[in-house]
Order: sequence, then C-alpha cells, then structure tokens
Amino acid sequence: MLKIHCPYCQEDREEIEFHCAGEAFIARPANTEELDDTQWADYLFHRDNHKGWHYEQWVHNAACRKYFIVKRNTATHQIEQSWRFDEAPNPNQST
Amino acid sequence: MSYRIKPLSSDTSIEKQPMVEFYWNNTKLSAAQGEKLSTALLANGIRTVGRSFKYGRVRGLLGYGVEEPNALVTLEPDTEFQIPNVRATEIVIYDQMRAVSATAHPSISFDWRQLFKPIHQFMPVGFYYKTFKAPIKLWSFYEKIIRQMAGFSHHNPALRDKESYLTQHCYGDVLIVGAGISGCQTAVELSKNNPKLRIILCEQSSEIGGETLGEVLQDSEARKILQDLNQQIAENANIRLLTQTTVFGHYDDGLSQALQKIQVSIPIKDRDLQSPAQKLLTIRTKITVLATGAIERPLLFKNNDLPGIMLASAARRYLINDKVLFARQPIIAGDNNSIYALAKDLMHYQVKPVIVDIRSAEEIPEECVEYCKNQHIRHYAGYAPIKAHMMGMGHKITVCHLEIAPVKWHKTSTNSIEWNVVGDEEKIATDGVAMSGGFNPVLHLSAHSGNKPQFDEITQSYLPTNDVAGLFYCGSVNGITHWQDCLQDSKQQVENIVTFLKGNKTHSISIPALFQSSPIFHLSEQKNVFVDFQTDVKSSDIALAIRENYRSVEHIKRYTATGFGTDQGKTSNINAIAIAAGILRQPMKEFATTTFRPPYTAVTFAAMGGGHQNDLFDAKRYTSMHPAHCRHNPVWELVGQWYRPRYYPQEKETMQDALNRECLAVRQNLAMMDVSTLGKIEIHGKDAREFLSRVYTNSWHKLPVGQCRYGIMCDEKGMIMDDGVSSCIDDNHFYMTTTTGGAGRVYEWMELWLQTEWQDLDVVLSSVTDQWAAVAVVGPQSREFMQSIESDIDFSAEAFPFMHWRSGQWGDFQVRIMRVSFSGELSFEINVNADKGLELWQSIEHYSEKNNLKITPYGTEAMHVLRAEKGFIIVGQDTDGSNTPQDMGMDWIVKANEKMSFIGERSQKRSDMLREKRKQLVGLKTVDNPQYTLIEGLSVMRSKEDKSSTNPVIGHITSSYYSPILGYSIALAVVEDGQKIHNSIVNVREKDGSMTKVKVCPPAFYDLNNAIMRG
Repeated sequence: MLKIHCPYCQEDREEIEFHCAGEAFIARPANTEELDDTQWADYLFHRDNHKGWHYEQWVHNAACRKYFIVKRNTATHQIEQSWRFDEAPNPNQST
Repeated sequence: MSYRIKPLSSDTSIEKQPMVEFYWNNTKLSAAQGEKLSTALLANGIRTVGRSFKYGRVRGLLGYGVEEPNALVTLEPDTEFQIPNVRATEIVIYDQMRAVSATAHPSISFDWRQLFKPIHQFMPVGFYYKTFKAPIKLWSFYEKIIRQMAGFSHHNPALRDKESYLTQHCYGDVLIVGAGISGCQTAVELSKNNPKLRIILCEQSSEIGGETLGEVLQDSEARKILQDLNQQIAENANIRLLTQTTVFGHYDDGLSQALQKIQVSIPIKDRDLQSPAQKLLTIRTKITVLATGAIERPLLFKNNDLPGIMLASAARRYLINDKVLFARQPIIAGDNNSIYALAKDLMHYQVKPVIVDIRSAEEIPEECVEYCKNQHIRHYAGYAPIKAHMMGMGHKITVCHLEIAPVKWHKTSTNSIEWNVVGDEEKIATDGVAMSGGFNPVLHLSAHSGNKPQFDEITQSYLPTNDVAGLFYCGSVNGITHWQDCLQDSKQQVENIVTFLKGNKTHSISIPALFQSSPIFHLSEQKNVFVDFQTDVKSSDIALAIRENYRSVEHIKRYTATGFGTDQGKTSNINAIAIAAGILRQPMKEFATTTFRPPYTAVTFAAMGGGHQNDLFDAKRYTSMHPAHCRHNPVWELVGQWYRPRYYPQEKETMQDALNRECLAVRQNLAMMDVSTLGKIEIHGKDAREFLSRVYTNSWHKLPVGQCRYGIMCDEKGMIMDDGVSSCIDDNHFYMTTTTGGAGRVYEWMELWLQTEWQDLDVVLSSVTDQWAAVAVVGPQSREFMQSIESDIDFSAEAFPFMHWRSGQWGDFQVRIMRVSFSGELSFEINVNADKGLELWQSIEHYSEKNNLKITPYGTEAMHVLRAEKGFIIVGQDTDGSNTPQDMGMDWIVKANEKMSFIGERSQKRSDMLREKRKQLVGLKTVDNPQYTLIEGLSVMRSKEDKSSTNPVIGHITSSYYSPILGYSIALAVVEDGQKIHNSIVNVREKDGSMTKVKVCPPAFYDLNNAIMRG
C-alpha cells in the first residue's frame, strides 16, 4: 500500500484515503465535433501504459476531495513527487 | 526411553521448568512447561510425527522453526479453540494441551495411502491430471475421493472460535525483522546513534538470540553479548520488542504486516477471551531492516525423508536450548563447517557422532580434521550419504542405517555441476542423521517488495540485491555465518542507515566473511530422493517435468507443486532449482532466480478480520426514520451500505401478498415511502446552469426557479452512468439528487471535471445526502391528504403542477416539497432537515389516522414494480454501462444543436453507437400465461426464421415482476433492434432449456399518457 503526499493537506497519508483517477495531462479536445472516430477513440481509449515513470491523477476523497498529480514509477511503485495542478510540470509541453 | 539429557553443572542457559501434561494423538505425555511441542515429542522418543501428503510415507521432525514441513498438527481439535495446520515447532506447550497429527488418515501408525504403495511408482507428478481427466462425466465421482485424500487438518466449521482478535496500526522510524544477534545489535547501535529513533523489533520465536543461542554452550563470549543485548533492549523505551511476532509481508513504501500471537502459551482454562489471542499489526516505518537469518537445506539422497533425519542446525538447537538429544548414535552429514560445531556440542554431552563431509579432504579446514582425529571421531571426507534404511513400527519408525559413498563433482562443458559416485559404498548403523546442505538466506520479505535475489557461487545460495530505498539487510541473510561477523555487519549497516536517514546515498552491502559450501550435492539417477517434503515431490518428478518439456523453473514448480505447501518451500525451493539446473545442464546463476509471495507464514483469517466482525463487519447506514420502520418489522434490503425496507409483511403475508397490497395502495389509495437515501448534492455558483447542461444530456439554461427536471448523466463513452431529478432553487443554486448507490461516484466524477477541465466554471459542490430526510406521499388521495394538514402551500393542481417544488410550513414542519414521481402516481416528496425525519414519518402516520385516510408504508420492492409499470429505468439494473440514452428509448432527453456539448455527446455519434442491432429497451409480456413471471437475467432468443446471425441470443431480461394493478406479469429487456420489433413474438430460454413465448411491446405498461402522474 502506497504512502501518498497530498499537496493540499501537506501530509503523507495512506493509499486507502485516495482513489487513482487515471493518467494525467490528457486534455479533452476542444473541438470534439470536428474529430473523426479514430481521433476521438485516441482520446477516449488509447493510453501508453508504459513501464517506468508515469504522471497520474489521484483524488484525496477521504479528506480534502482535491485532485492532484503524482509522479509514480509503474514498475517499482516508487513515488517521486506530487503536485497541485497549477504547480505540476507538464511533460507533454516541455518535450 | 527419554531423550532428555541431564544438564551438566557448567550449563547455565536454561532454568528448570516444571513439568506439565499434554495429549499427543490422544496419548498422555509430559513436557517441560514453555518448551515446544516438537521438543516434547523428540524428548518422549516419538520419531514419526506425520504422514506424507501423496504417498502416506512416515515423516519425522526436520526443523526447529517455521521451516518445518512435516510436523503439521491440529491444535485443540473439535473445540472452539481449534487451530488447523500449525507446525509443532511453533507451538509452545501449555498444561492439558491437545494436539493431533494433521497429516495421518486415519492414524499415524496406519495411513491408508500406504495401501497404494505397489502403485506408487506409477504415480509420478501429473498423475492426477493425466489419469482422471477422462471420462469427463466421472469427474464428480473422482473429485469426492480425491478431495478426501487431499489437505491436512480436519476442521469443524460448526464450532465458532471463542477467542478475540485485533488489528492494529503501528508507526515508527525503523522496523527490524528478526531479533537474532544481528537484529538486536542493529537495534541497540541505531538507538545509541540516534536515541530519538522509534524502533520496532519483531521476533517470531519467544526469545531473542536466534541461531546464536546455539553457540552459547561453547562460547561464553556469545552468551555474555546476548545477555547484554537483552538487557539494553529491555531498558530502552524507544526499542519496542515484539516476540511471538512474525512479519509475514513487506510491501510498498515501508509497509509491513506482522502476526503477533499473544495468548498461545497459556492453558485454555486461564485464557482471557475478551483480550486478543492474536493481533495483526500493520506497520509503517521509514526504514526496514531484514535480519531474517538463513534456513538450512536438506541433503539430497535416497530416503532422505525418513524419521530421525533432521537438519543439523535443528538438531543443535534441540540439544543446546532444549537439552534433548536427537539420537544416541548420530551421524552428521554435510557440505560445510557447521557440522563440526554440532559435533563439538555432542561431544560436550559425551555423545560421539560419525561425520560424513561431502567436501574433499583438501577443502575441509585443517582444524576440523585435526579435531576429529584428536577426539577419535570417525571422519569421512569426500563421502556423501547415498541411501537411508529404516526399522521399527508405528510412531517408532526411524532411520537405522546410512549408506555412504565417496563422491566427486566436475563442471560440464556448459558450466553446470555434475556429481558422480567414485568408489564403494559403506553402511553405517545409526539412530539419527543430522544433515546440512548449506544455508538459504531468508529473502521472502525482500522478494515481496519486488527484489530479485542473485545466486552466489561461493556461498551456494541466493543473496539479496537491493533496489528498494529504505530496505536494508543485516547478518546471515547476507551469507554471513559467524556471530562475530554478524556484529561487524550490524555496525556497517547502522552506518548505511544513518547515511540514508541524512538523505545521502548508501553504498553496496559489504560482506566481511563468507560462508563456503560445495555445490549442492545431487545424483541424477537416484529414486526416492525427496525435494519438497510437504508436497511429496521427488527429484525424479522434476526430471519428469523437464522430460515433458517444462523449461522455466516457474512452470516446473507449478507442475510438480514444489514449494506450494503451507511451508512455501522454505527448505525445498533452492534444492529444486539446483536439480533442474543440473538436468538442464545450466549453471544455477543463469538458470533462475526465485520469487516468494506473502504471507511468509500462514495467517489466520480471524486475525485479518480483527474486530471487524458481525455488527462491525461493514458500516451500516440507517435513515433517520429507521426506528419507525423497525416497528413495522420490514424485510430489509441492503442498498450500498443503506438499510432500506424492502417490504412490510403483515401477519402471515407472503412476499407477493405484501407486494400486491403495497402496490395497490399506491395505485388506488394512499402510501408513503422513505426516500432519504437518495444522493443529494448542492450546486452553487453563477455557472451552475452551464455545469448541469454539461453533465446532464439535456439543457438546464432555461429551467425556471421553482421547477424540477429529470436528467441523465453519461460518461465520456456516452453510456448512462446515473440519473435523477435536479431542482432550480434560484439562478445560482441547484439541488441535485442521484441514485442511492451512485452518490459518491457521481460526486467524485463531477469534482474531477470541475478541478481539471473546467477550472474556469464558477461552481461549488457540496454533498448534503445526510442533511436531508424525505418521505414520498403517493397515491390518488395524496393531494387530499397534503391539503388536510395546515400549510401555507397551495397543493391544487393549478398552483402546484407536476415537476415543481414549493417550500413552506406544512403542519409542524418547515418543508421543501417536490412534485416528482418514480412510481408514476400523483406524488409529493416532502423534504425536511434530517433531524426531523423520524418526527415527520410519525406525524404523517398520525395525521392519516386523525383524518381517516389510511396510509400504507411501502418498500423498495413495490417501488421497483411500480416504476417498471411505467417503464422508468433503474441505472445499474436495466443498464449495465453499455447503454446510451438512445438505446433506452430516451432520445427526447438528449439535447440537439447547443453551443457546448455534454459529456458523452461525441461518443454517442461514434459509428458503433449508430449501427444497426444495438440492444434497446423493450417491454415483454408472456403470451400463453399472462400471470407467469419470468426470471430476471434469462436470455431472449432469436426466432428460427431470423438467419441474420449465428448467435441465437438477442438480449436478456433486466426486470421482471407481477403487476397487481394490471393483473398480469410484465418485464423489461434489452433486445437487438428492440424498438423495431414491437408486437412481434420472441422466445425466452428458461433455466431448463425450454422456451417461453413473449410478446415485445414498448417499455411502458400503465398510464401511457402520464395523465395520472401529472394530475
């Protein structure tokens, strides 16, 4: 069971207080009606599912109910850091 | 004959304990209080303690602790204190204890599995798979017999456990697993270095010292150091020592779990049943130190499983710590120096062993050879045990001769190891063999957190590799053997830990002195060489698995069941890898690593449950009106965690009787229902309308204040996820209701959108499910009833139309009343502050009596019937996450041509959503017998004429009830292109395969133009 730092509560808490809410930084396309089915399916279903460092959304649902970003290694489960949305580095933009 | 030895005057390690009585297989025996059951059996001359799993072979004690594979017992059988499958080596004797062997059927002296002895040679690995797979029809017959033969303890499930259990969370800075000399020294040194550190030290046995306890006889310095450590730990308030506590799992981020046995050594009559017998500890620390030690390997030779053959380290512990001899004419065989330590201890008590050392004369240290010569001990160098012979009857069966032969190994062309016999055999008489095939560091906990150990040629064992921050290894788990070296290693590890705590990187593990061992001895051609004693796996089984083309050690282990017993292969796994590597002619290092999974030792379910039993098993949610329902003795339905009345049976009423009465009361008179459990969410902010228009499929921009609207929520894939009514309280304030079960999920999901994609929206949500209580007053007389109470609300149809809400005073209550209806009847939903819920319910009952309007309470089951008559769906029953609003025939609720789309809109235009043959909601009526009620979940079948697909199933029934107002049965179903086949006849396949004809109709049966509901 992971130990997760909530950037709002500013404390390390047990995983049982959180829910994972999937991969982070997947922006909903603005022009949904203009996308063809393949492009839409890409947003809807296709995820990299890669091994290693991974940005994901977690929600502190048993406490502050805030969503935030966690950088976690999917192979070792190690967590490097967590951020509020407004403070998180977006790896998609930097590359 | 007793095998206890008289302590010499120089012995100080053990105080004389009083003797107590206990029962072994219903025979009364005596033992020293506080000693282990295994010690007591050995002292009483009992050699056979169980029978083997598959062949029914006699088995004796192999080990001294958790590694024991043979001596499984049922403790206190057929009582409320029964514990199945415990190792005799872990049971501390108390007065009047009863234990029976778990593995002998029907008794130790005679096990009927041995009747199969003539065919044992035809029962290799895979025997059961291969033999009983055909004919398939006879399997149910075979299964009964095979299940009878399988398993260990018999457990009486009728007897309820009388003892208490507890779960507990512990936090600290450092967890040290194992209080051997390394663990203790690490604890003390760490505490000296930083007295503030909170250290938890767990030890599976009842005292500290571990294997070093075996040294105290010959080494007064070791004795003194252990005494000092004991004292320092006892005096240090920041070191919490937990004995009888086995850490059985290690997980992410320094989380470990341990089982603490508390009252196990107390006689049953003296136990406190209110305080816990066992505790399950969940421990979170920054640092975990594994000082778990090593477990000895058995040697591989023919009949190595006979009673009287045990691990050398176990023999030593029985001798030194418990003063019990394992044999009077012992042979010690092994491939490392540890066997000479046992020899010295035996000589101390004037017992002269024979030593068989597998290493060649050149490999054996000079002083060992010298010692044997001086003491006139028969010493065979370069010899290995080849075969053991047995004698005796019943539980006295024991080893009587050991054949040995000179052996040599060489490396093959592929660098694997091959052993050969190079001389004549010799037969030695004996009554007990102590063996040592090297040591396996206990790396189970390390493997739990994902580490893969590496095979080390010098120590011939798997040593830890470390990938996890905060995990440290100390002592013989690193392949170290001498206690002096362990102390040295502790110092090194303490430095590493301190460096780590300062936030610096630590360097690799240093190993001061290595244990040396020859390659694992094994002759490939031998029969009856046991690898896994508990699951009865022989080396020939591994060879067979390889002949049958299993190559990966993971497959070989599963096919042969090596390491799959309750001992988790603590003594067998590495030997099995060595044998497989030898047969496949691969060096062990390249062949395989080994994996362990939690738990390290068995954990009782009761301890996992702890206090979460019976009423405390799960949280129960009651509405504020609960006491009023209880007075009607309803049958309850569990909805999520809510307890809701399902129906209120009156005297002698069946469920159907009660349902009919409740349904007719709603349709014809007056009824009431507790609807407090619905999820309720307050939505505030100037963008509330925009927000609702995005999460619901319909538009909320123009809903006037004072009105309510039904909405459907879809997920991004376009599928229905929840529904409910929301009310416009004012332009910036809406009040949303969700399904009872969906409240938490919907709330979290809406927050996700607000906190991620829609941060620009000015909307704030708050959950108010528990703040409101509500009663629906339903039925043709409901308006009259509402009007009969003094109120400032005008209940007339003109002033208070359908889908409107009003607030005001109604009787004694400040209320918010909504004209919404899930029953399809004229209905008023009265919402009050949750504190007033019970009072409201009681007052309504009271008002109805006063006004001579009989009001009938109805439950969730009647609610289901009534809504099905109207064709209102229940999300999660009529939908399953693969249905769009269009599939449900609810196109009317999906808005078109709005600026901003709603969640799910784009997905509802995907080609798969627009294709033919989507399953659509329809109604079904039985044709031949209109009263016959179909079973929910049955398949709807394609007609024989329809050849459009080979799949005969076109849908399934989602809801089915008898409708008392209509006088016939109704059902809802999802069926391929259902909206196009109204009025056609299809079949429903019953459980027995027969077909029932049904007519497809629109999914609504009652008040089709909604005149009654809107009235």
